[in-house]
Amino acid sequence: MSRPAARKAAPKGEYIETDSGNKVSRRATITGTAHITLGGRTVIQAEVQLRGDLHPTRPLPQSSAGSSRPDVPPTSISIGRCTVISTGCVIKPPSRVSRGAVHYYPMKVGDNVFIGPGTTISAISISSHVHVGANVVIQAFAIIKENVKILPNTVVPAHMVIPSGSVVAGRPARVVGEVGEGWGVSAGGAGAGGLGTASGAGTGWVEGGDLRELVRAIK
Amino acid sequence: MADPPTRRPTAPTKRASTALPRPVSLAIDPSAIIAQHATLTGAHPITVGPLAVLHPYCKVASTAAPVVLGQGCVVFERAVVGVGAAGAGAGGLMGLGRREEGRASGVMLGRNVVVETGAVVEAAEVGEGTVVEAGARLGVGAVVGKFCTITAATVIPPNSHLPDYTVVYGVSERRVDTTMQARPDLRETKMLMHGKQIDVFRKLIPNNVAKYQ
Repeated sequence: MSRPAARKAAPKGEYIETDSGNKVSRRATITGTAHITLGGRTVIQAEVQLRGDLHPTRPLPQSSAGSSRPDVPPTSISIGRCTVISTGCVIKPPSRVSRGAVHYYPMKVGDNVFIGPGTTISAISISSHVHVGANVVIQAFAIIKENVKILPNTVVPAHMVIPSGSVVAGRPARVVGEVGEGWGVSAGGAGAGGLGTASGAGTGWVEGGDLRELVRAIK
Repeated sequence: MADPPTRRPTAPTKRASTALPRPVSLAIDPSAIIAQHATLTGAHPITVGPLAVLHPYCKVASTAAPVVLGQGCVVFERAVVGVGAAGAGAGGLMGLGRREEGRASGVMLGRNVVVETGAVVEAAEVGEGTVVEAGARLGVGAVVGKFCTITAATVIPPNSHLPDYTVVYGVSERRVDTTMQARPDLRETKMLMHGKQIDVFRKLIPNNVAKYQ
């Protein structure tokens, strides 16, 4: 008897959980939901702003092939699996002038990406296992490859390409080092220890590693 | 002496209303684009010029002084335009917000000014075609010239003056954009493209301007 009551209380929590395990905060401000895809087990925390309404308006180049699915809305933001978008982030697709008109371009965020609080992102693509610190600004059309660490308060300028495995910092951003071996590998017996410490506060994950434990811990 | 009695009558009604007082006078051009979640608050007048764009969750606040947005201004999400509007965040940052409050002349954005995500503009005047990038802050009473670029996350101290075509970057380093200065045709192109950007916003952002008419 108490079971249904408990289940009923769940929707009043901080997060709305979708079928594929995405957790979206009720206090997130999302515009243009039709143009956003979340890969599954992705967390959107409170006060995150996703600008899905700024979607590509250009018709697909192969108009004959595109006409078969004219009712599918164009995607503007696609986010992979087990990605965590922290509080106060703004994610906005980039726009530029092309053939005399302004167009928005779809942006992609990979799997197991951690984005720190207060960060503003307009990158065209962020690959998997990227760790972005707090209050970072990533400007339009930046490309961030795999296994990159961006330190807090960095400003990544427009059109910058960050090679995989680098550590980036500064205003404007520069490559200041490499993440080296063991990026994303938790120190000291991840397998059995991870299971044992899963309930412990934030011990189940490392920067650039598998964020599944972190996603599970967020409620 | 003449000023306070004229303001008195409005004060009690403001206090009676909820957290967001409506400005005494809102002059919004019907061709402006105001998104549903944009907020316009404060006790002083707010003027929004033709073709200006206010994105969702941006804030234009005239709590301490009037605000004027020129033709074709674009204010992105989370950006704040207005003196003392950013609350403890910006006012405390410089420690000058309160002292300046008395003589603050308000905020005036010129033609085609772009205020990007999360920027705070408390400057007295921002010239035509200037871009304030994400997270930048313009202090109270600052005067910014035409076609300046305030790059992301930089801070302009209160009462500073930036000449035309200045680029502020890094940790408050400055240089002059000589290309923009020497080429009027480039400036024209930039403004033309800005107009096209506004056209795209008109297509993409649901316009709620009718609410303010």
